[in-house]
Amino acid sequence: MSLSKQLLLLLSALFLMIFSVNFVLSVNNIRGYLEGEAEVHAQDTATSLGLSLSPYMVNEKDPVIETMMNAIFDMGYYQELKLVNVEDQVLVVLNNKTKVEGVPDWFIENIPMKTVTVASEISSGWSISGVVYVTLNPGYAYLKLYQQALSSFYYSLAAFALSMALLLVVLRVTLSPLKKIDQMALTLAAGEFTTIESLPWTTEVRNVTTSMNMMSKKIAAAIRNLNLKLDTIGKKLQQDDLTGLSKKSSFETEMKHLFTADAGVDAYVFMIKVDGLAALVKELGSETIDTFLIDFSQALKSVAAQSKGGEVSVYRFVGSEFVLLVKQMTFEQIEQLAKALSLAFVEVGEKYQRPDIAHIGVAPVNPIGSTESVLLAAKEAFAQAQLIGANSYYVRIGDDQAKGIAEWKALVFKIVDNQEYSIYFVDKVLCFQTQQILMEEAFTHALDNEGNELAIGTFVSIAEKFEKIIELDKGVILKVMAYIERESIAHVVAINLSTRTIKNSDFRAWLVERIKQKQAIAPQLVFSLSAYAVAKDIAAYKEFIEFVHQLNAKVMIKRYETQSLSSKLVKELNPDYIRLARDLGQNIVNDQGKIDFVETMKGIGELLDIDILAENIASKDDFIRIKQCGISGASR
Amino acid sequence: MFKIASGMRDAFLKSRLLIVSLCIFSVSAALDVNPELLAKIEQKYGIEASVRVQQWQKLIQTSKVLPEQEKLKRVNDFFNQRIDFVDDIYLWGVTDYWATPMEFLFQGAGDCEDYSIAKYFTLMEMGVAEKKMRITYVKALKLNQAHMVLTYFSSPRAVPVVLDNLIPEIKLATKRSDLLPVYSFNGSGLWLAKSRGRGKRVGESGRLSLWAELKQRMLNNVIK
Repeated sequence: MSLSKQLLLLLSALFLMIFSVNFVLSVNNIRGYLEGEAEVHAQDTATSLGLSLSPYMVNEKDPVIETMMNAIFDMGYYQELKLVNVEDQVLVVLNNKTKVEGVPDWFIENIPMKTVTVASEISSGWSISGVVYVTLNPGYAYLKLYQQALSSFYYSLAAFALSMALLLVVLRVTLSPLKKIDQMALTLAAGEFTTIESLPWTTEVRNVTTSMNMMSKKIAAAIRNLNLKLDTIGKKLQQDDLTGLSKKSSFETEMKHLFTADAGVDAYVFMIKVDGLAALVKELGSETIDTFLIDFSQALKSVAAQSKGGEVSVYRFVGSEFVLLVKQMTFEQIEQLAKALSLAFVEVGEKYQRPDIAHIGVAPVNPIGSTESVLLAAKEAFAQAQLIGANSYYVRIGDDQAKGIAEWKALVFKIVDNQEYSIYFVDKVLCFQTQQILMEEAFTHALDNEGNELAIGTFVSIAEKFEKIIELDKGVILKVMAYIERESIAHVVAINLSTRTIKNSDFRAWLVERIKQKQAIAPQLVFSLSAYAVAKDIAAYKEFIEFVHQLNAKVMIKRYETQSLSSKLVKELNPDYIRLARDLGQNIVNDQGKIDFVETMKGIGELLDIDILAENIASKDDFIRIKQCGISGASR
Repeated sequence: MFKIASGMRDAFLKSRLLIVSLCIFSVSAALDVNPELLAKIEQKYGIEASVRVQQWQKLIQTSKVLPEQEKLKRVNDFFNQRIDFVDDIYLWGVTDYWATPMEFLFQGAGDCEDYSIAKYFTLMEMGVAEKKMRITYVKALKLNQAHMVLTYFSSPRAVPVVLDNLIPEIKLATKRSDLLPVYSFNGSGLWLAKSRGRGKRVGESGRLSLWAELKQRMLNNVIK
């Protein structure tokens, strides 16, 4: 029962008691007063009548006596007038038992009023001649009492109603801040650090509100600090210290996405290597080399910035190895870009009296290939460029893929339509606290017509490209649900979903139906979304996560790194799990930056109630170190 | 000696009050006038007052066994002989003062109401039934003044005898041609009305307990 209801009941009971007691007391007082007045009235009548009868009592039979008594009695106030002589013999008695109208019987029965009888002695001459008894008719007193009781009752009732109304208003005003505080606590739990601006006037509630505001501000500040720290560390981890360019891990994330979500987008990889960097270091000294590398990367950046059309990202892999990832450019534009780079290298070379400093190998991104194969092709092109001349480039033309893709499409359609794929579970995440399995991830497995295992990345990217992915995702979900039921597992299972799937309304309706039938296992379903994909379409994913939560299922953001998704956005998205990018856990034991990042993420996770997980921690030392960071679990 | 009363009405009211006091005293089985109280009376009112109270106590104690006619005589003589008639204006400084029987004894003086009430009270202490006595308002014909006497009825229909401070003897009422009876009152019916008139609290409690309470109050007043 709510506090306001309890208070209202308690105070109503108190008020009712007070008004009832007041009412009863008031009726009793009136009754006492009326009884007293009746006695005075009766005594006055007896005394006066006694004095009046006195001269006539010499002859007890004198009719004047009865006449005089009749005259008094007929005034109607009396129930009985009685005259007795000195021997107590009744001389005259007059009765009137009539009831006074307007007073209900129950009132007379429940509130008895005593009938007053008073006496007065009569003397005649020196002798005592008799006693006159006067009994008042209580009807008049009853009528008065009844009227008074009625008006007293109505006044009490009105006062009670008014008090209740006032009480209700006061309670509303006094307790409404509690509701606000409740709301605030809920928003705090949800990760929204709001404050209550208008402070309530009730001291205790005001103090609580102030404390809550302070707490909210402090948590918000703590989150802000963590975010700042995370951004700094994240940048450090993702960027090359010397040149400020992104590292190889960022390139790999981008490539993964190219093979899945952005499937079908034309892209090229530029492999650029500074020739003979080791010899240069010896010649120029390490400081000059640093300046040289900065100049070189500046040249890359400025050419990339000036390029027309498309989107160019610049990466530094190791030492002398730089890579450009170029999207949505025509072949001509690619050639122009390569030429511009070549010219820029000449300029940088001139500065250091080096006519030949680097070469460029360009290879297209094959949607059915892999990052490695693309890089290999680019390296081959680079080798070609080296053969061409100083600072020159070589662009590899794409193979004839049309047939390959067509074959792939047919294969993917066949496998998905006939459900020829199976699922298997990898990446068992071990909970650090309980040593139990926390989560495993469902992966698709399929064979080609010759019975060879298919590269699943390509399989998925083709399914995505030809809009077969939703069907595939649905099939995987069904298989996972069956698996959970069949094996009676207690942990959660991660299922990867594509952007196309999460945006599809038919899929959502389908999912609602499926989960309705298997509500018990809903909390074990974790829909795994890549941080990169989420970052590309925050609004759609946010809405999808809310949808999943309504179904009582869960959400994981995987491959998390600050570069793709700020922790502020994580707060908004409110996922249940965050799985850190593989790279963050690798060699963590030797990298304080990574340790700081993971620990900060753990802090944010605690504040926002998100389980932080790590992936593929191969080395034992790394596993022990990442466990010490305090995150929830990791897979080996 | 007799008091010139300010009017019939005053005498009437005054007598009612005195009857009240009298009734209060009548309740007590024995009025405990202990040495401590006597010392206080002596200190406040003088040795004569203390002696009077002691003589009065002795009178009550020794006369309890006597026939009623003898009781009447002794009480009538005690007050007529030992107490002086003094008008209220001289005694109390006001035209009309309602002295209690105790005050009447302490002062050794009072008016006709004080005599009647004191006699009534004393006789009741001696065991004379209340129903046999009446306070009677009379007109003193020769003096043409309102006056008050105590009347005693040996039986309800009997002619009463009159205890009066104007003459020393107790005579039959029929022999008192100098007095014209006006009206007589029994004590118990009157005291309630009188108490109300004086603003006293008169509630549901029985008269006896209320009288006992009033007696105690009067004694306390004496000690003060």
